[in-house]
Amino acid sequence: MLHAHFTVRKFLNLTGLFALLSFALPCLAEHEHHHHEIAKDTGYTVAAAEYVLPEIELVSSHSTTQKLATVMGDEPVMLNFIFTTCNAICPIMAATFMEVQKKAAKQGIKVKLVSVSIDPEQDTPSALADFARKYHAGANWEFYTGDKTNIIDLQKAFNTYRGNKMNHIPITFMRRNAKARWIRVEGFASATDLLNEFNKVTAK
Amino acid sequence: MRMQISSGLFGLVLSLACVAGDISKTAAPLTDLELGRRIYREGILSNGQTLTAKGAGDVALSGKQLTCASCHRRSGFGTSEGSRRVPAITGKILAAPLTQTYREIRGGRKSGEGARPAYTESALIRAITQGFDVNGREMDPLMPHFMLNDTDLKLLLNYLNTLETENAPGITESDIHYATIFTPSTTASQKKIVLDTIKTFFDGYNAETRGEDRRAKHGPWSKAWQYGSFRHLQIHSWELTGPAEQWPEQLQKYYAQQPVYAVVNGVGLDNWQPVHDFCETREIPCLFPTTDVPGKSTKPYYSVYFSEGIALDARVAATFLQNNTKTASRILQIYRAEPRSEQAAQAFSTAVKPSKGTHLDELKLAQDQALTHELLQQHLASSQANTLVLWLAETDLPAVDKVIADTATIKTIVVARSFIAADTKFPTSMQPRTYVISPYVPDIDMVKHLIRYQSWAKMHHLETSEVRIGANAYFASMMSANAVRGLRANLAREHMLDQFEHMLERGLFFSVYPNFTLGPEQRYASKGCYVIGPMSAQDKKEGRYPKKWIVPDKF
Ligand code: HEC
Repeated sequence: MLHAHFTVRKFLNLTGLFALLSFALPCLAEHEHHHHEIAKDTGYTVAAAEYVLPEIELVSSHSTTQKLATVMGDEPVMLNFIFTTCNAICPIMAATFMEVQKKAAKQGIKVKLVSVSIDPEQDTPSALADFARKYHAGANWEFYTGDKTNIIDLQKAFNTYRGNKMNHIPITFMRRNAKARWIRVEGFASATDLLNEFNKVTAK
Repeated sequence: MRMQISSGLFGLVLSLACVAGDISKTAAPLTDLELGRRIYREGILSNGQTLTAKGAGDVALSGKQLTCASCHRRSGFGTSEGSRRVPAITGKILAAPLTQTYREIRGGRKSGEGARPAYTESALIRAITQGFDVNGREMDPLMPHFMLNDTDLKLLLNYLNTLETENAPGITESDIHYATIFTPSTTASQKKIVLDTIKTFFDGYNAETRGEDRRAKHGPWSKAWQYGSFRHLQIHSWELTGPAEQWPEQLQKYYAQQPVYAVVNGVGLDNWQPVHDFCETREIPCLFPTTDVPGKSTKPYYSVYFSEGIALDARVAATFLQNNTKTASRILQIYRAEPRSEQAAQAFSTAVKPSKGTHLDELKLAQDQALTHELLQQHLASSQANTLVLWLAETDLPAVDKVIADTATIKTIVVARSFIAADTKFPTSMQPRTYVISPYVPDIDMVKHLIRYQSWAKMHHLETSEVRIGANAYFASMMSANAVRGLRANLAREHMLDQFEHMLERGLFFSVYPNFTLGPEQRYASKGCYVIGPMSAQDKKEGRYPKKWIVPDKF
């Protein structure tokens, strides 16, 4: 009896703790610093950061295996983290990339879009391919999954790992080339906002 | 009143199920309630067109990508992702003013907290179409601005009013009733293990809630909300008999006698389809049954499984062999006219077929036919196989041993742990070329993995001889109890399922499966299997099995 009591209790306390942690986690780690911030309640923040990419491989929605460094390449790139069964945040993030894709094409801006799943076991290559179709992804928008531990390492490298995919937050990363710093855009930026930030990054 | 609503909903579900897919073919026009629900859940407007919206400022969204139910959930009680909260929007909640406490409890959000007056119809329309809440605050850009005409807005608001009904069937002031279901193939000892496990767990839970009852009664008003759901859990055993065609009627009868809130665990190793259909059509959560052949339907919602069962084993086998086509180019699969074995063979051939360069032959044994070495020899000769895939039991292995002992043409043998007893010792001829597909933690690690279950069971003097049956029942009881505890006063079945999607993410629950996750609308928690390979000399010395976790893609 006592033991059953203890285990259930312990579970409850832990869930409580997770809930607390998800609120209390600092949004930005120390190696990132704001260079400007939009104070509006509904806005987003922008920060520059150095991230050390882990030496891992990812698997694309076409089932090909590629090195992370190759995926990110040496050209201008935007990156976000999604999962295909996520309800609230991901559809908006994916639709935002869809809009970025459209606007960039219209304005002749060259950008590669990369979306990486944080639910790799559910998001098999064909699940990602279905998701890509749903958001009319073109040739410049690539989707990746991978080994569970690799995907965790990748999120840690970008300081987005929250332990639980349901505690996922909307962030977009962008950089000019392999040597440049990453820009971290946190919050719901519109497609226009993202392209504005992107133009600043590539104009440097 | 309550019964009226639920039987009404039940009728609707049936009629919707018939029209699913092609609306234009339906004879009877949809009712207002059905039209409203279609907007809310599927993002289809009353004229059949797709709902559209703008999100995050300038982003075009369509009902194909997301609907009200994606965020506010089917239950209308909302959800949270990270620090972002999606509030509850049932008619009842919107129509009442919110105090801080009430809002906290009923899915209040981090930003823009505080009291709000009751929503009026025009304030609601402004919220949905322009993104301002009843206080005139511009809402989080996560909430899209929807393009809806007056007709559709009316249908939608009307539907929101139907979302929060009274308690679901199976719930009384003091109790929550659960059923556990056994199909006829379940043995008496399996039934006993499951029932004893669930009863013992529920007894512990019920004893623990006594203090909470007191607090709910004597505490302040807000505590009544918090502790309101600490009802006692009751378990009922539903035993099915006869052929599967008769089960639906038996299920209906059991349910009429004692309505239950949800089904916990149960055992139906070779057929769960009728129970699955019952749960989906009656909208009853059916949580973690032990089965190798889970039910199928398009987008199951109420049924939650440990894994896809034997079909998953088969797809893992196919994936594994296709990564090794050099040695596994000609496959002979052998199975028996028995539901689990047939399902495995069928799933395997579907998964292997589309690939080029692999040849597949089959040998199907009658239900009571033994595999003889003559029969195997004959099929090996005609198929020229270099790979054997066996959906067979350990009793069939001596014949395999006899045939392959002095031939090197068979390079790879694949067997499934689901068919072969845990302590099986493979004949020496098989050992260096046999791979075991295991959806479970490898047997040698199982005791350590299930230490918490084992010690709990021991303390309560429960039988642990069938570890999968017992550990699954323990896991399902724990999940069911914790899900309703988390719900506080609010016990919609759909909301309970939402809880599940959040609960599994961390390794706080242990079962015979090694990796476990769920997410919105995910209904199979374990998504891969181990392929446990032959031991090398080095492995033998160190007492470990080489194993690889494979998550198959859809084929
Ligand atoms: C992408 C996610 C998402 C979708 C889709 C969505 N909502 Fe919301 N909704 C939200 C969030 C987040 C809020 C809270 C915003 C805030 O308070 O700042 C919200 C708030 C609301 C509110 C105000 C509730 C209150 O307590 O003030 C209403 C009403 C509402 N939504 C109705 C709907 C309806 C109806 C639909 C479908 C037509 C819908 N929502 C679709 C995310 C969503």
